[in-house]
Amino acid sequence: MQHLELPPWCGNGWGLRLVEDDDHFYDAMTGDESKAPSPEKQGNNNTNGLSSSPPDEQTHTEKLKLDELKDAAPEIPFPLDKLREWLIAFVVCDFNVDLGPEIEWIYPYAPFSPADLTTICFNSFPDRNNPDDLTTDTSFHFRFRHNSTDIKVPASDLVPHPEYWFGYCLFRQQRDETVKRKYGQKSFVVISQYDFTTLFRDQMLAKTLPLLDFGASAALMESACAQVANWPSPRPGEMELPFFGSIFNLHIPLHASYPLQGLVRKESVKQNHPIDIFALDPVGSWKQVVEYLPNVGDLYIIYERVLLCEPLVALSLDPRVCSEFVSLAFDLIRPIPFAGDYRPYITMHSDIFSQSHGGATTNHYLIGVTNPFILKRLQTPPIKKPLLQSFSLKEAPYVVHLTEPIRKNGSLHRRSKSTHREESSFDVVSQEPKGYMSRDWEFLKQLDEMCRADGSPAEVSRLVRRHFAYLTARFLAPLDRYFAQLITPASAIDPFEYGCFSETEFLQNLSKYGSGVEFKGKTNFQRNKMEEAFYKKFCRSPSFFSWLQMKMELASRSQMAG
Amino acid sequence: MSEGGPKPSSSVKLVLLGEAAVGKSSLVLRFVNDDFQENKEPTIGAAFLTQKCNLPNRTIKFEIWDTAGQERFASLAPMYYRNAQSALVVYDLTKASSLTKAKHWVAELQRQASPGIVIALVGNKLDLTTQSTGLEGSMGGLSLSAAANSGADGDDDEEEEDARQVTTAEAKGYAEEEGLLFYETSAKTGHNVSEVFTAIANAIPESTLKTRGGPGTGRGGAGGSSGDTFGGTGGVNLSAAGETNKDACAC
Repeated sequence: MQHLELPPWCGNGWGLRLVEDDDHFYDAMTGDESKAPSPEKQGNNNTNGLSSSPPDEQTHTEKLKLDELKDAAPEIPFPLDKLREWLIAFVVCDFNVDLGPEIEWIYPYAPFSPADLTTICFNSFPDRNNPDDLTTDTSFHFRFRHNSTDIKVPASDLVPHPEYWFGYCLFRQQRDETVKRKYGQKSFVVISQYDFTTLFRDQMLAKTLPLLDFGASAALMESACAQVANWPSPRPGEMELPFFGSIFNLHIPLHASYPLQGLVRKESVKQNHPIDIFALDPVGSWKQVVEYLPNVGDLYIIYERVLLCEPLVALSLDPRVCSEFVSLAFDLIRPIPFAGDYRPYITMHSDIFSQSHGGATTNHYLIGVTNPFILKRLQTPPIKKPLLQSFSLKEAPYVVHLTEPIRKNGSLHRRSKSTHREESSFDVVSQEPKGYMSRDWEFLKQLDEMCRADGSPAEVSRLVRRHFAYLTARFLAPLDRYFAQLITPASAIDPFEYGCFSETEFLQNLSKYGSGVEFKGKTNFQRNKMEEAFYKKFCRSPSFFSWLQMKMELASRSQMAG
Repeated sequence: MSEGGPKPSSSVKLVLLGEAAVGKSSLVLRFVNDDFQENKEPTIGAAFLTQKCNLPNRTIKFEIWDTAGQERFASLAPMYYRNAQSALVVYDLTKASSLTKAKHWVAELQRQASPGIVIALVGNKLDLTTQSTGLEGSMGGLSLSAAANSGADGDDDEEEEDARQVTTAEAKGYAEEEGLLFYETSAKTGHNVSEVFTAIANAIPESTLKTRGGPGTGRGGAGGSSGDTFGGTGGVNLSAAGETNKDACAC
């Protein structure tokens, strides 16, 4: 619940101040709600909250800002619907030591629901801080299910799940003698309906908008929006997008599930222009993940979990690392669209725990966290909330520990799993899943050598993405073959033919012709059993249905195209 | 490219700077669309347009960043002029204070922009002076090629009774001192507009032009180390997350 105070100018494009009240005053690290302030203190906070904006209490700069806004931005000087074709708003969040995160600006003003504002506020700040590094900016992104029905966003074929929005954050800390604890913290966030992390996070925020000063200036946000509103509407293909003196060459694929987009690129890095951006490329690099993993072979476990849409959680100290992991893992199984709920970064306040989520897909998720207590919450939900009862039946997630390796004498020393256990002071029942597929030792050796030889992040990512794209293709081959038999050429254009799938028939087909994927097992019999078990699992997983749905959609699209 | 083929083509980044309402957007509109609008609304942030300029031996594609003149946007200018190979600094020749602002911009560019940047000083709204047609001998002299800027033009600033507040001699003297190209233009009549751009195109050193063989190439070396230069002094922190100016030209 928030106290929203709408200054007189907020309807004119400039946002509002949001102050959180007591509901969110439990300790974010421990999730312990009993640490909430006493009622008297809450009362105090509320008073503070409500009076956070009267002009006489504002600092001089804030006053200046307001005056500037009133005079200079009487209305939004660009077509709002054009801007909304790309993004919803820029939001600046400020971390107030006494009150928690609060929204400083929303531009252009958007009537976010109180729940969405809370989500944006809390997800925009890392709930854990690297104490050794207080001055470097960090960027990360999060995804949330929104319920801001008053914000009209144009429908687009490029947005497969319009009920979700993305927040791309640039988090910055700066020494500030005027505040408690001597550090000011701000997050500059772009809210968009698109999963275009490379564009919004890597280019717009991290490189182009590292604010001219700590506070975001009104002119900066206005300029950014005016430029975006001038962009052509998003469409598949290549687009030239000017932004603050740079030109982005944005490549949008025809379909979200095309694998390996941007894998082959011209390495003309020396030139500052134009900047090629592949909209659906994962952010980050496998190099870091591989170095952070306790065991390189875990890549296969991760791959299988994502492929089968089984719960997977990445735990790291840094929201950037875990959000990048989710982005990379999501990409690993293309062309199969990940069917579960994926959250590059969540905090204790995430809507994934809230009732609005409905609990519909929560057994299938891919989540990045920095707070280990979330693991506990994912497994043992409060009994009080009846909607989450299904949790008790849930499978425990597989937890990927992403920890910076220790470098000794120039070589990497990975943290072992047992070290991780020692570090977490509580029990995380994370069963060790046995893998199904046999590892490609050639590939793992090559990967290891490349990392040791200081291969570039792009190079390592390319190797990993290629390997698993090929594996996915081989994995899907028996299914494709089966469907090719099932669907006669005459009916090939009828997408409903895909509905006649029979698991028994397919498995017979599989045992007859086999699969290009090698499964574990000492004998042929064992290998075949493993193969059958894995395919069976896949055919009963949401991934299979999302893949079928995509095939049908593509078939009907090509049908319409003639 | 190969001989006998089409003329080589290069992209040139050009930024327009100057006080509000001196006619920056109008100059661009005239150059790009050969059009003019009275009472154009102020630019927010910046507008981006492109226009080709055909030279005898090459084609220059101008990537024009038309920045907002309002003071509140001034702090964003470094984002636009970083790595720019050319700049057009505009003043209103019927408003003396706008030349002062133009001089500030020139100084800032010389201090913080790419070392080899070609700067043109342009006095706009010539149509508001008595020599609006631009057909008189003395004005005609101004439309000569840019390289001829050195030649003094004689006394062409006797017009005291019209709206002109900045004499040609004053602005031109300043331009010569600072090594700038200099033109007086009228976006309204189109006088001298394309000449400015052609002069800039000619003045860009060939060594900084890289032939655009395909997407991903073709940015000149004029960028130099500008990113660092203004990153340090202009209060622009472009080094977030250690990705220091990856897009700054490192040639």
